Amino acid sequence: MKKEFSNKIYFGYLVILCVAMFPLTCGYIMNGGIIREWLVRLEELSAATNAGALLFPSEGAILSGGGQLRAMNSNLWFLFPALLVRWTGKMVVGWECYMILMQIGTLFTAILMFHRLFEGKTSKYPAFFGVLLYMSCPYRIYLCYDLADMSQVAVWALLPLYIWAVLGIVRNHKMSQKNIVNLVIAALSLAGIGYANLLQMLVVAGFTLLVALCSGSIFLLLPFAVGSALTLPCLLRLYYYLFRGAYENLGIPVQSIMGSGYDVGEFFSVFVYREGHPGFGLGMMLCLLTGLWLMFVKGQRLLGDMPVSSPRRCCACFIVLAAVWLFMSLQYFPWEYVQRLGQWALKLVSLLETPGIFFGMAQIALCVPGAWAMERLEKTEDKGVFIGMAVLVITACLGVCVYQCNMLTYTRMPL
Amino acid sequence: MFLRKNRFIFVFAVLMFLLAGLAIRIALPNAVYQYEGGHVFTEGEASDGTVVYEGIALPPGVYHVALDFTTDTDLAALCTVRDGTVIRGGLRTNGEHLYAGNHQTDFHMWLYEGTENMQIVVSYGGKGQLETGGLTIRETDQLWVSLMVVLLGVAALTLSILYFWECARAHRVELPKKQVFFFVTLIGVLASIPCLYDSLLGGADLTYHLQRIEGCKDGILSGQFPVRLEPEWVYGHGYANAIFYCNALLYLPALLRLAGFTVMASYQVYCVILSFATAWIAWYCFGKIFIDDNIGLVCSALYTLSIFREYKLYSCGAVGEGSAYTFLPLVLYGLYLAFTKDPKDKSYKTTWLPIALGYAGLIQTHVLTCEITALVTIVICLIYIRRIFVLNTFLELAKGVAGALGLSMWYLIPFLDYYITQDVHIKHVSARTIQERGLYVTQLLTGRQSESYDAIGIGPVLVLGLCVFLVIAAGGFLRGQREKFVRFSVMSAILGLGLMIMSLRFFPWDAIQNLNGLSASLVSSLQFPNRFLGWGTAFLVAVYGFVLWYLRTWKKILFRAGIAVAVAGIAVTGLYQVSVDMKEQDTFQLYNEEGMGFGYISGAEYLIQGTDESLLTFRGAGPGEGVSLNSYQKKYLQVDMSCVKEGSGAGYVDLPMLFYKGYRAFEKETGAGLELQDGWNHVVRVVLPEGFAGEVRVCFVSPFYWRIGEFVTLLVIVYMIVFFWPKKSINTGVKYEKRVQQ
Repeated sequence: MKKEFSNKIYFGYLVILCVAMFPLTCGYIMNGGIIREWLVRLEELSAATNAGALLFPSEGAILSGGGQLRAMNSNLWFLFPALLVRWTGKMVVGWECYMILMQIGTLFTAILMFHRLFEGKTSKYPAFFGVLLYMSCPYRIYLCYDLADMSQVAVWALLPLYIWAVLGIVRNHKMSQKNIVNLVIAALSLAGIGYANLLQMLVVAGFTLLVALCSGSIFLLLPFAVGSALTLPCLLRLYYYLFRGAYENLGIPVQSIMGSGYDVGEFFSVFVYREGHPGFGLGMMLCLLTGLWLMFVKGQRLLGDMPVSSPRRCCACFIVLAAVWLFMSLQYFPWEYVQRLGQWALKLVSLLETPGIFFGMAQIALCVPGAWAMERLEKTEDKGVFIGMAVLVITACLGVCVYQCNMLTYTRMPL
Repeated sequence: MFLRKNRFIFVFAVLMFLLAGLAIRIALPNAVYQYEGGHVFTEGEASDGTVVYEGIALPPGVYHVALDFTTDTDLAALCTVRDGTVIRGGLRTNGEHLYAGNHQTDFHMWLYEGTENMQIVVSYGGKGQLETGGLTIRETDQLWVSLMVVLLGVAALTLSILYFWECARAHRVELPKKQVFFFVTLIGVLASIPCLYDSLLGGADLTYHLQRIEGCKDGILSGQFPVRLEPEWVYGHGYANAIFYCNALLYLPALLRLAGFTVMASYQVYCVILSFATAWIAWYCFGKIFIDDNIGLVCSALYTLSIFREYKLYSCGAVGEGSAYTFLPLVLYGLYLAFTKDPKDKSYKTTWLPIALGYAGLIQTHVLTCEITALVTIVICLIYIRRIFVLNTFLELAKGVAGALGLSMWYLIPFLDYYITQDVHIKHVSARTIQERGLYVTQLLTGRQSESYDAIGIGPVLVLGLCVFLVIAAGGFLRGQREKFVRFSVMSAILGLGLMIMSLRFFPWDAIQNLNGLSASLVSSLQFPNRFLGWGTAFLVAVYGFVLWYLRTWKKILFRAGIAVAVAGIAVTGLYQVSVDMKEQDTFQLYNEEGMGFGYISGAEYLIQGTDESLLTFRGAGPGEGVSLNSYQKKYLQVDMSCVKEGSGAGYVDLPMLFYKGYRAFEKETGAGLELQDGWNHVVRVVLPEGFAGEVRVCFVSPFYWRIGEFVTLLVIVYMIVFFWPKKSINTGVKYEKRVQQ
């Protein structure tokens, strides 16, 4: 019986993976977003004409691909597809393989994260819903296929792994062998995020520091320190950008990002969205509303006084993080005040490009209370209500994801 | 611990402290900044954003900008304010176009951050002469007043939540009540999504309705209450829009404008309140009809989030029609009660109330929807013709009509007065055909298609509900069910279907229009056959409600499936359409009235017939031969002038105000009345007798019988408040438990 149940869950994961890889069935690279910048990088890497451009793209590649604002992102995660391109001579093989691996990797790390988050629960439903929400998240699909930001795709694959490891550290206060593994993985994944997208690593590291201070978990400082040390080349590059004139040399525009922030209404976009601003998605909205319903109507204390490592407290922590990030993603967040702190702040905020990345991070955080709400629903309501809601959430998540992917394959020309 | 125990006191104390601070700031005098200078623009050389003043330092506030200028050409240039040093969104204004008839700008700007380097810029089109002069920037209290309003709103919300929380903790709030509150709030929020953007959807009618709000605000400022003529509309000539198109609900956004909010914010707040009101009313009415709060909730969601309502209110910007849909469930509920409830029941005597409130709401928001409602009511009366002859039923219907008329008397008397006595353009509009604007059958199922604004259907969910109902009916499953529900749902299905057919392009609207003059006028005024889908939606929601009621009594799982289908349907129709519109449709940001211009009057329906609209612009007084003006001052719809008539015979002065009934002219010193005539292009003409010399005042005064109408309305409102306020239930008087048992 238990095995049959597990099989169903694994089958569910397989379906989720297939849906998330839907646009890869086209067999071509879709035009649009910043795909050209990535292709230029890949081309340069596969040709290996410039040995110095292995870890970071050369100035020529940056300028020809139009990726000045993302010039700090390293090429580390593109080495494998570049090798494939070199061996096969086909760019599409590199892209397809990279995306397939990233999707599988994201699924794997998401499973790890949500199963650890809801560890000890008799039900696997919350973990399943967490993975479902994460994999079908409209913002993630937007990054993968619409914006085609391959660096951020890697960030989305690594973040769950980092959270998985951090959770392990928070829960094991002793320096055990298990915790050493967690520390190593946390440091490596943080460094991996840094090599994919340095600014997002800084955000994640900053909030990790905050969590470490709030929770009093001193061990968290270790992966923070090691991860930062491992990304030293990227940090140095950032230093040169902000303080040594590399920014100006590349002709990177100094800009205000407030205008590209979210409107509150854009959070609720479903199926279609304004440029670069996908909403929560129907599945996420249903899960969050379920949570609110349980809290306000049923009077459940979703955020009770539980031990710091319990799913409930994690949930509270992620809700707070999501609220902060959502606020930061709004066009009302005064980024221009931050930019007035100095020339470095002016450039740093410009490099962010859009406050939308904070919406993405809020989405990651919201997957946790969303999944938690489904767990509570299963525990407290009758089976019919839970099954009905579960069907609605699964249909909504997969339906919106299929719609989004389908519209992209329909409207985007092949490269 | 103290805060936890005394949270109400804490919130109240913080509120008082902040309010006191704002009150002190408001009491302080406002600054006036004056600058001397000028700029002469070279004729024929267009310039974009010429800086005429710069380096202006101002603290945060709402300011009134007055730039002196002289030009001989209308719309010669646009004057606005620019500042690259404040944060994005820190300076909000649309500026003002410059007209030959004006000599000073008169617009507001909202500055949310102090600045050291503000610029006044003029974009000149190159036509005509243009010279700018001195600049005066006056600080106003509006920022602080609007902050006060926001503060009070937030405090009210916080205290309500705290109160609700306390009640919930003490288990004083029943679960069904909490559930209803939660879901109706959710419906309201979802229906308000387009208002949560920092821009407005550019619906075809939107600027017209924004002008109505501005007109209401200007009317209040001019001293009118109720507002009858919008004084600044049609380039300061005063437009009789409010007399023909009631603005009862628009006083709320107008008051927000007066408090200092931008046009956009005031309008968005209005739409949010409207959506919440629609959700609550729909829940109440459908819940009472089907004696089930859950069915009421589903119906409320289907109705409030219906694609047709969203299209009208947001995509099309048809604020009047969108507002009217708030009241359709009330009328439906009232008629349902009148025709299905036992007339001998004690509570039957209040059946008229929803009819009166619903009809009054419709009359005062959108007359066309009211006409369609009257048609629908007649058909329902014919279906239940036998009940009409039951004395109590007839009395309740009559009371409903009387109540609606009484509540609307303040509007109806001026409306009828003008409609009968004034030869306005709308009385001559009968040639506009509508059949070609009808829908194709397949369009009934779809949302808006981007290529055609009018091709809006009713959506697949409601049609699916109708199909299920037809299956139930065809299968003979209606037999044995509660008769009053069956009759009501059959009627709803037939009328819903009929109204959908009337919205099709195959319906012979052209033939009906050609029957006679009255039908031509009525059909022409409809403009779009899809207007029938408003009531069509209401009826089909009732059918869906019946289907749910039937499924609940049959199999609970099917009832839940019905709810799930409704939720899914709303997601893929209502929410989807909003997202598509926000993505595809043009949007704009409007802050001040002047940015919209003063001339747009849609089809010019309420101009006096024969008025040449193109000749109306800002202008001064036009004295006739032998008349000299010594002084002239016009503020809103009041003109004070000193004039002399020389030579023989009578003279005249034409004033820039459209000659509607209600203007009075008199000599200020003696109070003696002066004759008014229809002047050039139907403006007010003051006739000056031979040898006249003195001060004259011309102003708009509501006739006394309009005041009687207002008094009657006031009496009816007082009556309703006194007799019905304490009662929780409008009608049924049946306790919740009893209803559940039923």
